[in-house]
Amino acid sequence: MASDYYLELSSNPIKFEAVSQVTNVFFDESNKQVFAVRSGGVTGVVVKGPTEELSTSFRMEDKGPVISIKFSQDQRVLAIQRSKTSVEFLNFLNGIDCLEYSQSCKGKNNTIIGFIWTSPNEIVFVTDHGIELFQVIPERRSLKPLKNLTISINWFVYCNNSKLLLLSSGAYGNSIQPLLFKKGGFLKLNKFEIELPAVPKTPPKLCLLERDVTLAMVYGQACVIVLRHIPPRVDRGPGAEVLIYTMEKMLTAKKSHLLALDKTGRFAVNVVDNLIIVHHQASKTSMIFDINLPGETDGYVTFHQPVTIPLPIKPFTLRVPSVQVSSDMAEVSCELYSPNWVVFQPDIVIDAKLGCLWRVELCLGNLATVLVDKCRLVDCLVQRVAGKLVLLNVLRRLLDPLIGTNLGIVAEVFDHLNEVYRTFLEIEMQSQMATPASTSPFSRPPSGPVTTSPRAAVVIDQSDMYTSVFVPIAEKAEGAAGKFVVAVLIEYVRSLGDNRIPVQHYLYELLINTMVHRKAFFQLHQLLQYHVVSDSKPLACLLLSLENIYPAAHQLALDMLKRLGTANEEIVEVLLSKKQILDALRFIRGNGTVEQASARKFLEAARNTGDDNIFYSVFKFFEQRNEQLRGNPNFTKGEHCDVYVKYYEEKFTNAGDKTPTDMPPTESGCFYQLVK
Amino acid sequence: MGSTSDVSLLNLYYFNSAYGPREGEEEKKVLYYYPSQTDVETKIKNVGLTEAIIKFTDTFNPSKPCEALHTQKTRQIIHQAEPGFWAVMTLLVPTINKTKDGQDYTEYQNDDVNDSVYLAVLKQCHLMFQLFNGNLTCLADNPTQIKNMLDQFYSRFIPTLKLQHSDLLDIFAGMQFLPLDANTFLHVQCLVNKVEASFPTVHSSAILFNDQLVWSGIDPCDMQLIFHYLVTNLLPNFLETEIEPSRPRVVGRYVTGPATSAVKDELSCSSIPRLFLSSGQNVYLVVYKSMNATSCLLLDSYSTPTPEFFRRLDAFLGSRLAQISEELAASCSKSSIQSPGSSSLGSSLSPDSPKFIYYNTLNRATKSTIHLDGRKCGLVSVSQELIKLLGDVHSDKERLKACSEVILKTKNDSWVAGKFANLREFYVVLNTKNANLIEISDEVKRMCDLHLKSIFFTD
Repeated sequence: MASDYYLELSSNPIKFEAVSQVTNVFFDESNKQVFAVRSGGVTGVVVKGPTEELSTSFRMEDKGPVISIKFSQDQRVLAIQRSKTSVEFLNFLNGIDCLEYSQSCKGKNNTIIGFIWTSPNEIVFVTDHGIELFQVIPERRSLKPLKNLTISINWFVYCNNSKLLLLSSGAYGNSIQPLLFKKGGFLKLNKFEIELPAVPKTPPKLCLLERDVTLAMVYGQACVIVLRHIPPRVDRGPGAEVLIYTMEKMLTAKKSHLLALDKTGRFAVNVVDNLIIVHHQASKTSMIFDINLPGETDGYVTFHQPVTIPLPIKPFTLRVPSVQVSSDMAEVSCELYSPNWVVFQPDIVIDAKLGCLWRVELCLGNLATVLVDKCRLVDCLVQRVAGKLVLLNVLRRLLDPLIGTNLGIVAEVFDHLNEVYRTFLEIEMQSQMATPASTSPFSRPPSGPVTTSPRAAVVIDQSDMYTSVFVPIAEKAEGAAGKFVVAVLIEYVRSLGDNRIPVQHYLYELLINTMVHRKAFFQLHQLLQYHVVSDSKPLACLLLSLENIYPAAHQLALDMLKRLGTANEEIVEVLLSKKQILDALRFIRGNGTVEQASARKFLEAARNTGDDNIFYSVFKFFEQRNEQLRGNPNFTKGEHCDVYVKYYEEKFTNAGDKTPTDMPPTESGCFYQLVK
Repeated sequence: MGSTSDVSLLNLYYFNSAYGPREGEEEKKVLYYYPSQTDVETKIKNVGLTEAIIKFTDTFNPSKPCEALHTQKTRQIIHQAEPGFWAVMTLLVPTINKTKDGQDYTEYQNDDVNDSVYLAVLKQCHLMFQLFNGNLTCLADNPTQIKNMLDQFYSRFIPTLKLQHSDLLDIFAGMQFLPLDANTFLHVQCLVNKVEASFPTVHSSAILFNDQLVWSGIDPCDMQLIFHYLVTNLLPNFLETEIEPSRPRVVGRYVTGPATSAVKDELSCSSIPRLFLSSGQNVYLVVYKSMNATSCLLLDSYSTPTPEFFRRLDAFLGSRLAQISEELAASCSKSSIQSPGSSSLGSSLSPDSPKFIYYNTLNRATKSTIHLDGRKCGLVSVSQELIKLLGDVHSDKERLKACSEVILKTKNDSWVAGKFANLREFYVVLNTKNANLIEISDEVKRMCDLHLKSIFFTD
């Protein structure tokens, strides 16, 4: 089945020379570069990075086994650690410069645990007794000490995205000192302790190990992701868990999330598209967690279950030259979750024996089929970079009238989508309104609902819903399905309204058309009566066109035109077309537009009624108007009323003055009082 | 001042001449007669007279049969309910006993009985009969059954007729819609959709809040009848049982259908009213009430609802409907605060403030600040005389053009105005002393602007 996985390895892995007796392989997390160092560099160092620019190869002198090797971020200086007390540097200004220069750590008995490039020309040495920050000056082939900090250190973790360095100290290793690097220095953040599941009584020994701690950016916040192997207890089965500390405002670490793994053994953590992925070697499966999804909480820590069931990564086959026929390529399937795997942040998996570096990627389409809870699925997808298309697909399937999803779920899904939509609009609005004056340091941060959830990666707005979801499902709306489509549309409009988002007219048009199609006129009437549908001229015209199938639509249309306040012309047209000439006259008299009114239009309509009384009244009305306007009752040339003046004369003046009398319609017979 | 009597029902009968075409078979024509203890002779005589009147008037205007017969003491309303089936109602005209020159005499207030009003009442009676029993025409070859059904229906229905309180509103037989903001309305609508989607046997449904309609998916012809049945009959009766202190407090209860506490009981499900819709469909009427909101569900009748159905519906609706009820209450109180100048109950109670009745022919919406509730209990804020006058204005309107205006002044310095436009009717009662026509006309205009600002209503 295609949906047996929701993670896959990137299709074009970076291939490098596998680890062997002569070749050592190093990986630099910051630059994502793999170094294959052959015979200490004499027979070559091959560097493979994600791009051509970050890939190179060179030779260097063998000065002993390499412990660590990393380029500076601008690729101009290479740092090589071969001893416990010093690091050597090589300039790569224009090709390799053979002259190495060296820097020892300051403390005499200090041992360098590792080094990190914190900026293009700054490097920090982490020793067992503290850290030392240097500025590298390649031109002078020397380093200048900038700052140092004395602290006993067990191990360290660094994240180049956040420039955050965690130093483990203390006997158990769980006392963490975070440092935030800035150009030319670093900030000491508040120290914190990572909770240990069990503390050995005597003697104190290192309990928290480097391999169990991951530092990554999740939803724009630096997170310390700690694997905890809980010893089996009576009240619960064995099972490891992941504890997450978030660095709040880059100052204090706060215990914030707990991920239940319910498994034991070896784990590795990746972060892909803000999802925390925990690989489990024993079961050869991976779990995904989304700390943004709602979970049970005790007020401080939110407890999370995996987003969905654990599944293995999609099987990966590598094309390698065939042994038998050299020109042919053979497909070799790679062992997944192999013991040779090393996982790096945020999303890198390296098989050192195979010489492959992959990125872990999400298959959102499959995730959508595996995840049953549609609300969680939507919540999850709106946070994914590539979630939009998948989400629209999910919605189209969810709202398929033939499936007939429970409207309660539909409502909830819409509410979740529109909450994201509203937040997006609010941010838009604030950014538009942010004038230079209001961004002064004295201005308070923009007020409004403080949303704890991060800004969503995907916003499904009304036009997306309309074109990609509603129109396709409305086309399927036949018979009973129409009722469902109407219900869905109303639910969507309701959800927009609850989120105070103005509804676009095309949604109303679709709603009305679907209702008309279903002949649900009385229901439509009520929607209009309660002003659920906003007034507009196009809508009024649509209603006018419906008059033949639903007579009341005419009244609704007139009401709407009246409310618009800008459609007096249209109202007159409608009345004239309905031969309600006197009503039209009253109307223009009421709103004071008599002077501008086109007499010709009225006289034409009046003549067409065939009712002489009406023609006479209208003619006299306009004569009076002319009198008031110009002092005489005649029509001007520009009004083109000659035809009607002639008609009037023929009808009423030629054969003497026979002004029609306004007789009430004759009632039938003498029985009127008795019988009606 | 002597004693007075209100308008009252003298008799009400149905006949079909086809059942007794030969002499001596006259009794067979009579399908129903109230009062039932009337002797056969009188029944035959009255039916015969009506037949004669119909025949006689037919020669003058065959297109429009006779509708009313005026005598000094009675008023007979004649309505061909279905082809061949005639319904007749005779009313005693109200009287005032007066003394003149030391002599007692009775003055008959013939002008107080409006034909249109009572014709509407009679028509409504038959429509209501049809709602519960279907068409007589379908049973034309079974007069015995017709007799039984008419007897069964009218024996219960006649006592609920409030003829003395019949007025203009009976002509309209409209529905009071609850004024509501769009969002709350959408919430109601969404609840309705969820109910109908979760319970596919629900054919259509409506929601009421107190005595006002919030949403209806039922055909307006049927809804109108069901609305009146609910508001004037079912809900007030239910309210009485509800305030019994012995009843346990529960979220929602069935008004028709099983009592919630007894949903387990198989038998209690059998007493659900069946309705005959104008489309010819036959449905069950299930009414469920939670707080002040009432959900009225029409169930397809091809299967009898099971106790299981009622249990599920109760579980689904109870709290949701209560929540909607609270929301509606909040929305209502909000809107009455926002518009103190409009028709809040307080202002309509004082006798001198202007009152109005509004009716829209197209969606059958009515609104009245003259009637204090929709239950036809005679709770009105202006004098009976003025209310009767409104009926007369309406009758007059038939002779006017589509768009017109009538203003009347009464002997005791009250004014009554009627405006008709765009298939809507607007009646105003003003108690302005010493006013002139222009002032009244302006006041009517002002009320139109205040209450009808969002609709097209030409001046």
